[in-house]
Amino acid sequence: MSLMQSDDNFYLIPQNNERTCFEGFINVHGQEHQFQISLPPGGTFSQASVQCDLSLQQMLQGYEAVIEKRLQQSQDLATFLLELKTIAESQAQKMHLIMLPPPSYYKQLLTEIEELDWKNVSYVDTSLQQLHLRAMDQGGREHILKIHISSEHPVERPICTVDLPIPFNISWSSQTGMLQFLYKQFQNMLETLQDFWNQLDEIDSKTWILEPENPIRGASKRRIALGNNSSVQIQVDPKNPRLPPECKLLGADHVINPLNSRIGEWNPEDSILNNLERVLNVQFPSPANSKKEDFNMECGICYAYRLEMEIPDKACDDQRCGQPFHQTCLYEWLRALPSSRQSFNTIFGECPYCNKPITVKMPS
Amino acid sequence: MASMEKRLQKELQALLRDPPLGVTVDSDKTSRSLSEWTVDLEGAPGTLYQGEKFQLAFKFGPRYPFESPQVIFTGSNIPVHPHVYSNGHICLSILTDDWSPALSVQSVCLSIVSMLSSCKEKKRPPDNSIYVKTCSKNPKNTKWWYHDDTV
Repeated sequence: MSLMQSDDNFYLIPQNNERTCFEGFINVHGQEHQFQISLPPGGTFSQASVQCDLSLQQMLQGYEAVIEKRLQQSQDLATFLLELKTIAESQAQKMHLIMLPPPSYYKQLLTEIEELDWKNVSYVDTSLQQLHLRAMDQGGREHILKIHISSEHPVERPICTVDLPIPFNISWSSQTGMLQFLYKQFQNMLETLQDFWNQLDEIDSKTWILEPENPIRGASKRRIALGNNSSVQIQVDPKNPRLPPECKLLGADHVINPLNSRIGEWNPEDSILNNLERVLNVQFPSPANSKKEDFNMECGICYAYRLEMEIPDKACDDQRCGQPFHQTCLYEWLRALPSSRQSFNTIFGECPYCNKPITVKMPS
Repeated sequence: MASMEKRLQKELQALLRDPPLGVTVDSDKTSRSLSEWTVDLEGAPGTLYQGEKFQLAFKFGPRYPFESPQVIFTGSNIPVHPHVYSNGHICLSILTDDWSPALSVQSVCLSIVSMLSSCKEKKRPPDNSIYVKTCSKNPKNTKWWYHDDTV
């Protein structure tokens, strides 16, 4: 009798010296399930019993009596476990088959896709339940509509995943031709967002975007490099892209304080980029006349640009220094110094580089 | 820990690529985790230590660069200098009280070279024999008195 087996099919470990209790794992379609076998003293199988974990129990539902009998009749545990594995695997397969949609589902879906034209399909999985549809907008940008089709299609609405800055709420009724209707809704949505993407595309191509590193279509925030370790973060309203965006200036005080926002001069007719340059009275450094390395300055403490999600946005206010730091790094350094002073959540200390006064807020 | 290794990796790359005069990192003796380094120093020309070769051992704790590295002279030649004990310990304020994360392996090495260079007379610290007998293995545990800034 093999008492300890560890191959791809199962692991079996005796739990006591008398070898009357075993625990182990059995592999069913690549997934491990836990079980426990108890033998009466003496190691005979006549009164043996087996207990399984919940998922294995569900798989073996209806077969409990058979399995118990097989165990009591078996000569050794290895043979029994192989038998158990075979039963579980065939059951698991049956359960999977039941979950597949009926043939009418496929017929209906194929008709709908044909109506939609196969050239708009960029991906479909083998079970035909995941469908990716491609749509080009007026600006020549490609968008993907990812649809998870329910087995109850078209009665139940599908789950859609999109890369849009606003929620994609679909209207749905259980009629035929719904895929085409869904695709149309997606195209209409893209149309309303054209100006939003045009505006952001202009900003992305003519300035240095520090965050996000690779903006997705759904991203409405940008952190734009201003030079001198400072930047401006804007959040554009996807529905009203020409209205003044939410702005946040980041950097050393001596650089950003003069940029007093003359928000009254915002002209909704003009592009966001032009408006920002006029209102802030700056010229953004652009890929045409600068390198990105000039703007993503490393933190003077950890020597990295990115610290988890953080970038070095706290800079020394001294004009000759201007050394940037991660807020977390600077806080970590200053809080341990006896020369620093804390007031509420702000620490007053000295720049590690130039010893000029510097303050940092406790990272949230 | 990860941020310490990242920074040390960058420091090591920079020192190997562009070493300052008289400073050489022995990358073979640098441990895989980067927590221990060996750096070869040469006495600067025109000083009392001209032509002499020394070795520094750096040990970095997981809190580096928030805490200073442990730096001592090792090897067969320990410089005879009023701030260097015969066991290799160095009395230099930037290695303890005046440490700042703005400093680096490179700036520590250059400070030590310059400390040697400004020496006018080769001699051990006056308390050398008693210090060497009683000190902790780690010079950072010593409460130093930085009494003399001229050398």
